[in-house]
Parts: sequence; C-alpha cells; structure tokens
Amino acid sequence: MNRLTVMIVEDHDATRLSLVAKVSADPKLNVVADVGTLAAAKREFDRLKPDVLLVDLELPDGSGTELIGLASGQSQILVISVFGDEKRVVGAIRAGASGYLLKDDDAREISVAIHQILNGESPISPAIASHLIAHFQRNAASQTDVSLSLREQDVLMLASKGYTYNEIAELMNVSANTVGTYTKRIYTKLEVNSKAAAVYEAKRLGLMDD
Amino acid sequence: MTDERLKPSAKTRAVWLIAIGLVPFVILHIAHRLDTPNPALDEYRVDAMRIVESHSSTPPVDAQWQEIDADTYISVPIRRENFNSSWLAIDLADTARHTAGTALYMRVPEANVAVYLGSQFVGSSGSMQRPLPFYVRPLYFPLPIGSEASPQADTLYIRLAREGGYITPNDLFIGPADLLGNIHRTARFYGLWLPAAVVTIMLGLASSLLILYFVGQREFAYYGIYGVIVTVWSINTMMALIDHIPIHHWTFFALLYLSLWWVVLSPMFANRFLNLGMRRLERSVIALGLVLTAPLLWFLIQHDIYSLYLYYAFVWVPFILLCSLVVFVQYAYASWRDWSVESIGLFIVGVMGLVFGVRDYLFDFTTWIPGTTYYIRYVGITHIAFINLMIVYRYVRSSRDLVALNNDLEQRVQDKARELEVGYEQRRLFERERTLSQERDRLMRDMHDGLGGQLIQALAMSEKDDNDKELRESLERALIDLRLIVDSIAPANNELIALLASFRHRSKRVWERSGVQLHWDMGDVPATSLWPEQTLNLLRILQEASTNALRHGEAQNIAISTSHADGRIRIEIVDDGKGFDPASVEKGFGLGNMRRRAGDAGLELTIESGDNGTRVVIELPADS
Repeated sequence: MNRLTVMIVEDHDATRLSLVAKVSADPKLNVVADVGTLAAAKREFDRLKPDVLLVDLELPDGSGTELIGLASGQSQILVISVFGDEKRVVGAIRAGASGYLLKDDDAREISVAIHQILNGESPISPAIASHLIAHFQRNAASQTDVSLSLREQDVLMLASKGYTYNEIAELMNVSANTVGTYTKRIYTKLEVNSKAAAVYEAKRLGLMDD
Repeated sequence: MTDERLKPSAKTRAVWLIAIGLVPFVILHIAHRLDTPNPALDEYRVDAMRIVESHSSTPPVDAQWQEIDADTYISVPIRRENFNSSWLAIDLADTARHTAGTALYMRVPEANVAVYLGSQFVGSSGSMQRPLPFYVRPLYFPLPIGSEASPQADTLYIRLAREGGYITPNDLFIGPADLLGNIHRTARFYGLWLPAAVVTIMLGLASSLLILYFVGQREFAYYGIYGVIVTVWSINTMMALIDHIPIHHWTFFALLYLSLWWVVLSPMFANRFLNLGMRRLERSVIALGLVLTAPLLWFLIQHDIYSLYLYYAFVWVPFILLCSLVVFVQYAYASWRDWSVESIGLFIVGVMGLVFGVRDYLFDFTTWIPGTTYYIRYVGITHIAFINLMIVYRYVRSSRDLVALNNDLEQRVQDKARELEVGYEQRRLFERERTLSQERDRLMRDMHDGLGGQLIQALAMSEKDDNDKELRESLERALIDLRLIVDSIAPANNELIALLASFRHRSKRVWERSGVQLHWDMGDVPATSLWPEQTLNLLRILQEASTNALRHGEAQNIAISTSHADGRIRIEIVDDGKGFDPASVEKGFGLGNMRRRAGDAGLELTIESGDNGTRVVIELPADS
C-alpha cells in the first residue's frame, strides 16, 4: 500500500508526540518527520518533500509562515493552532496553507481533515468566514483582485452563521464535498490576491521590474 | 428680483411705459403754472430806464445816459482779464414809488449789483471788485426814501457788474416793501434754502456712500459712482448759494461747467445699479466726456470767454443733454426688462431729466419758454433723492438677506454638529473595535505561547495514560472555557450571530459526542453592541443552558434560533428533554448562575420547563 507521507512541525514535545500518535493511527498516513524548529523543518522538507505538512506558526527560531511559503504548491499544508483564530489561519492561507487543525483535535478529526485536504476540500470556521467576507468586500473595488462567485459568497455567509458543511450543502442543494471544494477555491483566491497585492506593492516601491 | 409671473406682456409693458413717460410733461406744465410771476408784481415793474457803460464806483451822474426799455437786451462787451460794468438809472420823481416804505426787488439779477439812492449807498450783492459770473439769486433792497439822509434823492442808480454776455433788465420791481419782501422771501426759500438744505443732506449721504465704498463694499461700484455724482452735483447746485467766492472767477467758471459731469457719470451709474451690462456704452460716454472737456478747459485757461460761451451753449450742454438721453434709454430699458418699482421710478425721473433739461436749454437760449428760473436742479434733487431711497431699500433688503443667511448658516452648523456627533459615535465604535482587536491579539499571543500551549501539552500528556480520563476531561473543559474567553473579545462580537456561530463551532465536539440532534436556525437580527464582559456572560449562559439540556434533560433534539421584533433580539434554546421544576431544582442546573449572569449583562432571561422539555429565552436590546 502506498501510504501518504506526513511531516509535523511543532515545538512542544508532548503536543508533537501526541500529534504524531494521532496521525499514525490512520493506516493510510505515514509520519516521515517530526521536528521542533524552523531550521530543521526547512531541511527535512527539502529532503523529504512530504505529501502533507502540519505546521505550528510559533516556532522558537521563526515563523511557520516562512515554511508555508516555501512548501506552497509542493505539499498540502495545514496550520496547527490552539485557537484556530482567524488572524493566524488567514495569514497562513495567504501564504499558501489549505486549512487548519486545532492542536487538541482527536485522531479521527485529524484524519478527516487531512483526507479532506487531499480531496481538494478545505475546512472553515465561522470566525474565518466572517473575516473573509470582510476581506473580499473591502477589496471588491480593486481591479487586480479575483472576486468571489455568488455560490462562494453564499458558502461564506452560511459558514459565518455557524452552519456546518452538511447543513450548508442542504441549504444550497449541493453535496457536502462540494461545499468543501468551494472553501478550498476561496482560499486559493485569497492566496492569489495576496500574492498579486505583494507584487503590486513591490512594483510600487520599485523593488521589482515590470 | 421681480416675480416673472406678475410681469405683463412685452407690449403691455411698452404701452404702460409710454403712458408713464407722459407724467413729467404734466409736472412741467404744473411747474410753469406755478412759476408765473405774481400778477400783483406787474403793477410795480420798472418799464423804462437809462443806461451807461461805466466803471465808476459811484453813480456817474454826468455821463452820457441812453434811454432804454425794460425788455432791451443789454449786450455787455466781452473783455478778458476784467469784468464789465454798466449803470442803470431809474427815475423816481413824480411817481407813486417816491414814498416812504418802498423797496427794490430784483428777481434774477444776472449780474452783481450795487444800489444807490441818489448818491447814498443802499446795498450790494457783494464785492464789485470780484463779481460773481452769474448772479441769479433774487435781491431785495428797502429804499430809504424820504429819510433824513437823502431827502432830495429822486433817482435810483443800479450798478451791474459781470463777465459779459446779455442782461435783460425786465425783472426790476419797485413797490411796497411788505409785498416785495414777502415775494422775495418765498423766492429765496425755493431758490436758495430748499436747495441748500437738500445739498447739505446729499453731501452727508455722498460721503457715507464713498466711505462705504472705500472701506469695504468695492464689489458694489455704484456706491462709489453715486457718491462722486452727488458730490459733483452738490458743487453745481452750490453755485447758486454762494455769496462771496473765495477763488478766482475763472476757476469758478471751470467748476461750474465741469460740475455737469454728474450727468456724464450717470449712464455709468445706471449701468451698474440696474445691472444692464452695457460696459461699452458706459466707456464710450465717459471717453466722449473726456474728449469734450478738453476744449472747455482750454478756453478756460485762455480766458477766451467768447469761445467758451459758444462752446458751452452749442457743444457742452447738448452733450449733457445727450447723456440724459442715454440715461433715459437705460432706465426705459431696465423698466421694460425688470418691471420693478425701482426701475420704473428711475424711468420717470429719467424722463423728467430729459424734458426739464431740454426746457432749461431752450429757456436759456430762446424766448419761447415761460417761467422765471431753471428747473433742472429740482430734477437733480428728485433723481438723487429717489436713488438714495433705492439704495437704502437695497441696503435694508440685503440686511434682511443677511439675517436669513445667518439663520441658514446656523441651521447648517447644527446639521454639521449632528453629523459630527454621529461621526463621533461611529469613531467611538471603531475605536472600541480597534482596542478590542489589539487586546485580543495580545491575549492570543500570550495564550498561544503560554496558557493555551501549556493546556494542550498537559492534555497531550494525559492522553498517554488512559486511566486518567477525569483529568483529561477537566483539561478539555478548561480549554473550551479559555476559548470562550478568547471569543468573548472577538472584535466582531456586536454581530450576535457570529458570536453564536463561534459558540457552536467551539462546542462541536461536545455536540457530536452527545449524539443529540442540533437544529440551527439563525434568523437575521440587527446589530447590537456588547462589551466583552456582557459577551462572556451571554456565552456562559448559552453554555450552561446547553449543558443542562445535554446532561440532565436527556434530550434527543435541541433547537437554537434567533429572531427579532420591536427592537429586541431573541435567542431561544428549546429541547425535548425531561424538563425540571425551576422552583425546586436550583443547584445542579446552575440556574442561579444563569440568572445572575443575565442580570450582570443586562439580558432578559426566561426559563420555562415542563414534561415536554425546557425553553430558555434570552432577550437583549438592538442598537438604536
């Protein structure tokens, strides 16, 4: 059986070990590396190129966001967080993450989240949905930005009101998987927009040629 | 200015203006009727006299006298450098005039005079060394006939001194002092004191207007022009009022002629005052005025009185009449265009100016016109008084506008203040959100690195030992509690639904484990501002209510919904569990805690429980 490779970056030992145990509980997942520093994580990532990367943002020698930027496009990335708060999660998504896990999620939840990601679906919380609604509304006037489709806006609106994927699917008359796919697409648009904004900003500051 | 709806058709307006334009002719007719010499005077008119040209300062009794008739024009030779002097002799012997209580009355002397009875000096109009050019004021001399000093005097000698030109000695009267004195007083009142009083008032007004113009109202050029016009006109009128002129008589001539500039300036004033936009006309009139003034000044400097007289009569005065005609046309046009009291009033005065001006011109140079004096000065008075009235009216109106403008401004300031208040309120909310957001960031950072991380780690450690289930659950609850606190300071917590959504998301695992069916129905609700403390209390009430339903009620279904009515927001938590008696059950259910928290947070809490389940209703006010 061809198992999927997973790498875990978390500086608290007990938490890291707990995560390793929970991920390993899924027979389809194989934890190939678990590290506690950004330097080690970069090194191991280059060597192993895992299918899935679980990253904590607060690392003793830097921010996990840096690693996400490097790994974006090569691995499916999930942020691991204590609160799943919108500020950190959205920051990670801008850098290229596809979703998030809570550090105390159990083995089943972690397994579901990883498979969802691999399946092209992304999880969302009401707080993140609210944050994204505000973000896309604010940037609606900007011409460079990719805007959301009406269906995507509906997903965000319902998610911000606390409805689960199943409920949203029922309300929108689609499957739960489709809702997850919409979310993933929204995240991709956010990433694209943040990169476009970064390029625009760099050009404006004269750091980059046209 | 004028209400367009009240304006008659163009044709009607034109007809009316022509009719109104006839009014000055009526006035002129009335003036001529009033201005006929008192018939009582005819009896005392001096019809015959003798004349001799002489510079003698006393009556030249032995000169070569010439008999003349009263209507004879006496041509006074024109000389440079000096004035001319003639003597009239009137025989008083053998007539009714030769009695005590007799007086001499000269209606329009046209020259300076000195009067002698026999060799006795009676009186004079002023110095014979520097006579006025035109002495037109009536003169009155009581004659001391039969007095001790001159018992034998039977001839009255009158010396006439002036620059030159013609004199008609047809308005000399000798008669009873009472009658002639009265007539003289009346003539002086209309001819002198009335114009003098008006001139005084006008000069005051003119200076006020000039000050107004120079101090601050430059945009209203007509104030300035009007001030200049009135001043110049006053000089013109004053000529008739001055007894002794303190300047050289040639300078006096210059002033007299140049003072007609008040008419030259009038088209400019009319243009500005009535907003006619005739700038080119205005400039042309002024330019022509300047060009025509030059020869006038040249003749004055040259003391060429003959050329001066001809130029004055045939060029300068006609030009002044032309200016009056221009003003008349301007006023007529403005009346036709605006149809306002202001413009029609000025139109009447304009027609008067034209009619009376032509009348005076003909009166001066022909014998066709009745009356005894010039009328134009009365038109001047009327004209200027009317404009004055209009300027005062405009001033009053603009003050009234100013008051209205002030009120409007005040209203706008109030509106602005209200806007600012709203803006301030918005800013306050924004500041609050910003503060909360910053506070939350700080807390999250601390929690991630500290308490939160530690709790997670403790939880991870407890997982190694399956026996320590209680510890793990306790840690899990602590973590949930910590997340509640973190959520309670979420910046968007005035969106109640977002708060409830987070609550559901946080308790996801609890719901899943319990196996209860959750019915989630978030109806739209208006915004409500909650402070973090209130938010936390609300979250804890929700937590308590759902825990009760899960733990004690053995419910199969729980419905959480929101709705709003009449400015109040309603959160309902309904389950189909066993229910309880709110009166008897207190402790384990935490009902007391819920009530206390509701009280602290200003929430209205209703708990109903029965066999069919429990209903918890939380109500709170929406933002107004």
